[in-house]
Amino acid sequence: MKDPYSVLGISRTATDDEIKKAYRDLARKYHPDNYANTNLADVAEEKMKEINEAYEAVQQERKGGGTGSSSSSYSSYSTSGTTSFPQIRELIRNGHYAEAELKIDATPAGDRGAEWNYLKGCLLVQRGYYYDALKYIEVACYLDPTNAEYREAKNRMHVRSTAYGSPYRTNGGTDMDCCGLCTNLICADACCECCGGDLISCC
Amino acid sequence: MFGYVRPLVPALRVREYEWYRAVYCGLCRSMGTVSGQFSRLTLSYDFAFLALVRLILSDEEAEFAAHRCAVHPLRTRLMAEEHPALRYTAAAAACLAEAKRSDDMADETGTARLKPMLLTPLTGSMVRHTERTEPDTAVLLPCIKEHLTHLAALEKAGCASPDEAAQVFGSLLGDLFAFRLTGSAAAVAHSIGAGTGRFIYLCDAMDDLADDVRKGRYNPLARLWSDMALNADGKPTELVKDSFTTGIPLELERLGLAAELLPEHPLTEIVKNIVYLGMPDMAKRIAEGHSPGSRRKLVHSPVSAPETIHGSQQ
Repeated sequence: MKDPYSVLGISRTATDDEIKKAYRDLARKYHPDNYANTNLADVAEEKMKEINEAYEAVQQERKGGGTGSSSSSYSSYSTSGTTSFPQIRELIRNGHYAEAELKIDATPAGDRGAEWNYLKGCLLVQRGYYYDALKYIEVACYLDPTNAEYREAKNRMHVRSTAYGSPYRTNGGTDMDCCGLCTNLICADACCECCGGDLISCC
Repeated sequence: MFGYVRPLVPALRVREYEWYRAVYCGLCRSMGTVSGQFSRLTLSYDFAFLALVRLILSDEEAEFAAHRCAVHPLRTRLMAEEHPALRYTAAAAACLAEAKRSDDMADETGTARLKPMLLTPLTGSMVRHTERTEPDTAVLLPCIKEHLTHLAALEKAGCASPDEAAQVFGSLLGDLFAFRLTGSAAAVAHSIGAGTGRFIYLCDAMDDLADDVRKGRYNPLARLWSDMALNADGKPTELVKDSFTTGIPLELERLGLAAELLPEHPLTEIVKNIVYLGMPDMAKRIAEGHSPGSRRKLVHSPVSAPETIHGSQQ
């Protein structure tokens, strides 16, 4: 099964409200009604199913304190130094950003390695300070180039950045035709694939 | 201001381009009547953007008519007629010019102080003129000055977070955009202003990065990236450029969301063009070192490959 977070297009640190919003937006976008009378109805329906499943999986994981497969990915990091990064991650995951930020900022300079930079970046994203966040995530990738988590965070920001501007005149217009729809779908598929998902399975 | 906020002209409809120029010309005329003829020299595309947003959120309809003006005496041009939104924008521009000047005067030393000193009578007369014609806006000046003082304090303390400093400039513009609006119009205007202010501040920091470092002035990007900021030849590194062109669209996301909430209006499409295409294009230009500076020319060809203009054929 695909990672439910990437299906919803959200980070693991997203708040419950953000998840709900992401789900609602996607559901609206891929609602079967939008695709009625086209030959894409099945694709949309499949996507809708996938989104529903992902949403349920995320809900369950959060309620049950992490029973999903995804929670295991947190157990692999090392705990060097005196600062407790797992604790900070826990705080971030539960939405206690202010507390996490205090802990992050109190970390002694010697402990500020790749993971510190990564977590600092995640917190800044929460605050909407994307420019600052990019720097810290960039540094995290630089310090630990093999870490998939940091790289994924960086990629996600790049994908989001290139996707910006796509709503401009691509929806709401009356001149939306089949061609534009296909282009959008292909774009969406490419975006999904970047995040590890897939919208159109055959390409 | 700086003129970083411009539409991407090739993606505008022809009528939208005409309207945009009409608003720009109309604003220029309003500046003449509200803050005196000198103030027309301080006109910039950033203020045209403020005028657009205020026109869209105004209850009064915007009217256009062909006029001649001293700058273009030979042919008539379509211009926006006198409108409260344009008069307000003119007043705001005058106040910002004066606040900026007095801020520079306090900050700069040596020969750099000459410019704000020479500008003193000019901006002073602009503000006095504005106080007579638009007395309602008198409270703007202290409000702007307060924000700029806050910003100056951050800069003096060597703030190493460009976002934090940008936030202050953002709230300044947010207040300017939302002045005397109420309800949802105020909320939308404030977030559009805030996003625009953040964008302008970050662009300015990137644009001046090499210069600031050379002259030993404060620059938030230089503080954030420290020794990773510049190459040996004194140019910004690829890392800084890349994160700038990636970071700006992320910053702009919220601005885009706010623009989507503008009421339906013929001018709304122009605002969306600026927010979705013009601003990211400008960011790329600045990162590549092709800043338009104060040049008045509009962007007629995108800096990026055509396929990034969404809606074009594959």
